[in-house]
Amino acid sequence: MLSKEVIGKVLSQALKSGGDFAEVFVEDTMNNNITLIDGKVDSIVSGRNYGIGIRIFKGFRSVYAYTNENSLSHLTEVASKAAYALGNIDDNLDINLNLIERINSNIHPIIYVPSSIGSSKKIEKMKLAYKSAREYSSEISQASVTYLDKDQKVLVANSEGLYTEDRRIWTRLAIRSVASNSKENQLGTEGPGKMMGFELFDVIDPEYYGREASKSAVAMLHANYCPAGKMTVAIENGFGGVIFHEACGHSLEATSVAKGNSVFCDKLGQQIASTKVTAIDDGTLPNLWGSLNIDDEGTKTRKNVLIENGILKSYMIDKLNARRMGMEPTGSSRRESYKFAPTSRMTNTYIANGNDKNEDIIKSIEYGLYAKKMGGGSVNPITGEFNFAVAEGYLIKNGQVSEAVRGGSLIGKGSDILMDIDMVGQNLGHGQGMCGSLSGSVPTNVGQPLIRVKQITVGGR
Amino acid sequence: MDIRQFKDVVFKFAEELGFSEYEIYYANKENLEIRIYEGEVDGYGLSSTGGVSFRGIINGKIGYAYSESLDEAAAEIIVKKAKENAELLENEDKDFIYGEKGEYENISTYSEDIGLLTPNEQINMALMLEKKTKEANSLIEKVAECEVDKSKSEIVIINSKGLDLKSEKTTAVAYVDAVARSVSGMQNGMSIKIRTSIKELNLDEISSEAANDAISKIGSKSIKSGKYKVLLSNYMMATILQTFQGVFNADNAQKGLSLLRGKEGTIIASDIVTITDNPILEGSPYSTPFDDEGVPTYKKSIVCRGKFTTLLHNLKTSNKDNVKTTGNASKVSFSSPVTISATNLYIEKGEKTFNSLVSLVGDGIYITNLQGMHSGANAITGDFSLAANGRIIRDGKLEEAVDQITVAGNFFDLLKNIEEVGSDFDFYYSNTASPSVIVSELSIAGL
Repeated sequence: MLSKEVIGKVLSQALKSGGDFAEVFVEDTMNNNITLIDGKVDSIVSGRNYGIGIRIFKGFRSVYAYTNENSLSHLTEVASKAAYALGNIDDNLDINLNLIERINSNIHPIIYVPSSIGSSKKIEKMKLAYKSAREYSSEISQASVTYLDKDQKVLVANSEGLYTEDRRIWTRLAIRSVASNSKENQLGTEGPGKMMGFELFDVIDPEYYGREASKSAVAMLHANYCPAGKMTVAIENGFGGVIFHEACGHSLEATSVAKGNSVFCDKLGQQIASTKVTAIDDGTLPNLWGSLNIDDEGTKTRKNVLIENGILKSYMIDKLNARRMGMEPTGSSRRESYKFAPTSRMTNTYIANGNDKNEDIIKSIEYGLYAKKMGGGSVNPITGEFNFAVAEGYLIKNGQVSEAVRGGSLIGKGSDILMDIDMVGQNLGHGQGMCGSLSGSVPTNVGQPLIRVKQITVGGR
Repeated sequence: MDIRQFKDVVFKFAEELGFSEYEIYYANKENLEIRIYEGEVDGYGLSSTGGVSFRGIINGKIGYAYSESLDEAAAEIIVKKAKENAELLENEDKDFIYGEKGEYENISTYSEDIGLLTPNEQINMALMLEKKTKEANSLIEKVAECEVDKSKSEIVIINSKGLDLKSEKTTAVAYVDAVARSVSGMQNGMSIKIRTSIKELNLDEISSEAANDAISKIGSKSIKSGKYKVLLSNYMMATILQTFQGVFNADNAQKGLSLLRGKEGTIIASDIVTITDNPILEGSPYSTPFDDEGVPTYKKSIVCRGKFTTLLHNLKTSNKDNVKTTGNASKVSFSSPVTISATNLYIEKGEKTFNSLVSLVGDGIYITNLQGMHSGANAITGDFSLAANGRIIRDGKLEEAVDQITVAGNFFDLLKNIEEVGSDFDFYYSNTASPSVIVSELSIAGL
């Protein structure tokens, strides 16, 4: 990566137009993507992404520039161009920076670095998933498996004297199963992943996930269309946590809050959810998909209790928005790559276990929907309106799970749904996803136990 | 080193390592993004990046590798990695590297005014956009997002069979998100446009579109669930087409991931629907004289008055189906393998004005916004269930605003149920476009 000498000079140049903070982010990433279709290796793409991002603050204003070339002369030129956007360059300003190297504890140890494992071993694991997915039922017409590993080395340095590095390694398997009956197709997916190397396969069983993806697809092939209307809904654990991520999570990021673009602005200390809801964003959970040792501004991650028994306790805040809000950053600043300026994002976000028994939740519903698996969704933080897809659903009749239904979606307003979570179970689980926002696409976990939402609008046919 | 020097080093290694055919694909981009917030420059993003992807055929199999560093070490690594990757490939489909002498359309996607625009001028444009949006209506309280971006990019494809192509492109993007406040709360509305030159960005149009989108949502209420006749706005029909465009992709069809497999010659839409793939559309940044394999592109109808005529192909898929390539090879980014994409995909416009469409609906819903496209819609099944905003249409007139509803249906049924196609065709931001259309029936869930 780049030396303290080089970075020190670049940061000094960046501050020559009166900026009060400058940051250099260097990234060197190796990516591997393998796709298996019909049991055969269909494509393998590997490569290296390398670049440097320079950020400058002046009050609330900021500038971001990025490039692939790392020579000192080029970087000082880029820093000058960026600085010039904030004011005229004053060459007499001679800023001496003292960069002090900080070594971070590695909360997420890696055992097998992906580049040391041959592709054929990775393909073996993929084929296990493919076989169990394809052979699950004669109704499975197609199954595809993708494998990715990413080895990201980063260096963050800033004019406050920080000079620190981190290395993040992620591995993920995704299975997509298609069930067909000549007239139509239905889909089932699974996508387990962790901040781990090849040892991921010591903790997850590819055959289990292959089966689960196909099970889902077949269930939906035989399902009726989901009915439409307002219903009581039970949302299962794991990826069901996407409800909180969309309904609430984005609206608690300083990215929206700092500019007054969120329904939860100015609500610290107030009741924004039912007393049964305690929600947390925690980047320190060892080796989970959304975890990090340090965020992409170099701040150590931590456990942020966002909501406690329904009361809003904290937002997720990055350095720049912290200025606007007059608050401290919370180790929540992330970016997809050096091509993006970082901003506040989620890591592993979940609703904590509650006191209700899972069986009681289902038994309590006379007529409603059991959302066993959720698809993704989105939110408008300004109005709080969110939506998400039900990937696998079942009607609940007289307190029992009954027939499968497909094509359902859930919509509502974040502020309403949080108040309507009236039962929280005890089987906390996490699902993996890629979250897209202002600073690009980042790996996040969403989680919760089985929960009950008193009333929500279900879209269907 | 520059791209041609890099190419020479790469090709030398490729020969040495035993590749029979090989190609480099180079893309670079210079970009300036300006974001404004409350009269000040809030975000200023400057970038200049590029990368090379190498692909080569060895023992009949193809391997890919890429790098964002263009030095001698990278050249050797990507060729070695591509060889490793080729050896592991099991897909038996034949891959091709193009070497024919082609006739390329004369289409320009490069505009001088982008290069001439200074950063200060760009800042002033963005400030003007924010100002115009705020002043468009007294109910607009503020502008949540306002951005003007410009870029210049270049693609170079050179291969061992003599292909040597270069294309240059410029883009200008304006985006604004307006917030209206009334007694019932906050609503926002947005507008975004991408063009190949600055002069084609009409700030008056963009600012009033965003403001009107926000204002039209004031006082929105949900409505009774049921089946309704729906008028889809031009922007929303384009969004639906964008989400489902994969159904026309031969690669998906051949892998059992599109329901259009083997359906050429059958009726898949109502007879007033013609869907065109047009790589030479003037003013669109998606236009291109050659596809990402270097094959010449051409304009074609893929649905002609309701009849499905052809899938979109690249060299590999067309060889499998024993047809000619349609010039739709595409890489999602320089580092991706070659797959397939439409260039500019759109529903051809009809003759009825938007207002006459509203009258023709009689009683129904006008849909102006859809959310959740990335999760509530599935090109493999054709199903969609999306959150929506719009207006009630009663007795042929636009009435009260609607929100907190979902619209559900299936893309293939929708195409068949298009009753009217309007004349209000416009390009926004994606590679798809459409006029407004009336769909005879869609399921709405609300109260």
